[in-house]
Amino acid sequence: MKISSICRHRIVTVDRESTAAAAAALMREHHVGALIVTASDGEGERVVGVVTDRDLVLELLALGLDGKAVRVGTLASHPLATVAEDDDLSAAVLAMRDAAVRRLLVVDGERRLSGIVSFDDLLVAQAADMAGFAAVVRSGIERESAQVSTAPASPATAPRVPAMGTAGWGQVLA
Amino acid sequence: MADRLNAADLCTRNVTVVVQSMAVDEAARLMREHHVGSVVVVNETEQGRVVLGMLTDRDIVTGIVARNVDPATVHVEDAMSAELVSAREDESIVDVLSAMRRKGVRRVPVVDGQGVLVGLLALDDMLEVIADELRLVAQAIEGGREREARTRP
Repeated sequence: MKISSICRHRIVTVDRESTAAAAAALMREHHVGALIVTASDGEGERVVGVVTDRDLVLELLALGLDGKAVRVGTLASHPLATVAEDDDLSAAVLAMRDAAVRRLLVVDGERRLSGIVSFDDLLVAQAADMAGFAAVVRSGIERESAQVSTAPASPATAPRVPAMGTAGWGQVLA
Repeated sequence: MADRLNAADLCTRNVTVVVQSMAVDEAARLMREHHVGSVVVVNETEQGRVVLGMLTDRDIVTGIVARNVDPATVHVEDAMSAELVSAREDESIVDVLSAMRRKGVRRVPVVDGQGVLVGLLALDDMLEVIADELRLVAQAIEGGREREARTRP
């Protein structure tokens, strides 16, 4: 399963010059736990970091800073861990493990931001796969206990076996 | 497996607690110091720490920072999640998970019959157990293949 089908494409951004309090209001309004922090340069908006609800608590309140005075850019975490949208689930899991983060930015082939993927998103996708495994086990038992031949007829084009030895197949001597 | 394990088997006993009258900024400092995302709000009684609620980092952001409220002037009891979702220590993991799903929470305090804190149970704790068990199943399957290769070469 490709990350592009797992990740969230709806991204909430905040300019790095905004206040921490404004960022918190955005998190509340959009029901998200993380915002993409951006900065404008001559060619448009660039991603400069990510700020999470947890960052706001730990870096702001715990240090006794005023949310209306602190710029969100100073709280954003760097560097950014990314995953390509064509990568699969296991690549994203490894990237999270290596960076010790629970969120990754998803980028397209030209390194443009296309989404964000969280640990929870990956877990839900993986659990759906596991449910598929369980369904295979159950359907096998059901097919046997039905005691009738429900085996599918040969598919329209049955797979061909390659000529012996051509595909690294072991030669079996009768 | 999960229906035989209970909340007390999997919960963390090392829990960061705060009393209801503590200021929110002090609770935030505890979260930073103890590297936790939530604290259990308790009332210290002779029987022990009776659980009143939970305060998460998210509660602080949405309830305090987003509303421009001074965290030094708010008590944790006024910022904590309104509804207490807890698990009895003898409750099965399946029942706890079902309650967590209904209530939309990812951590619950585990309490005894008197409501006294026993521990904290988070989805992460359960995930670790399940992932370890899955790995053991995979290893058992591989072991079976190896045994056949060894005994019937």
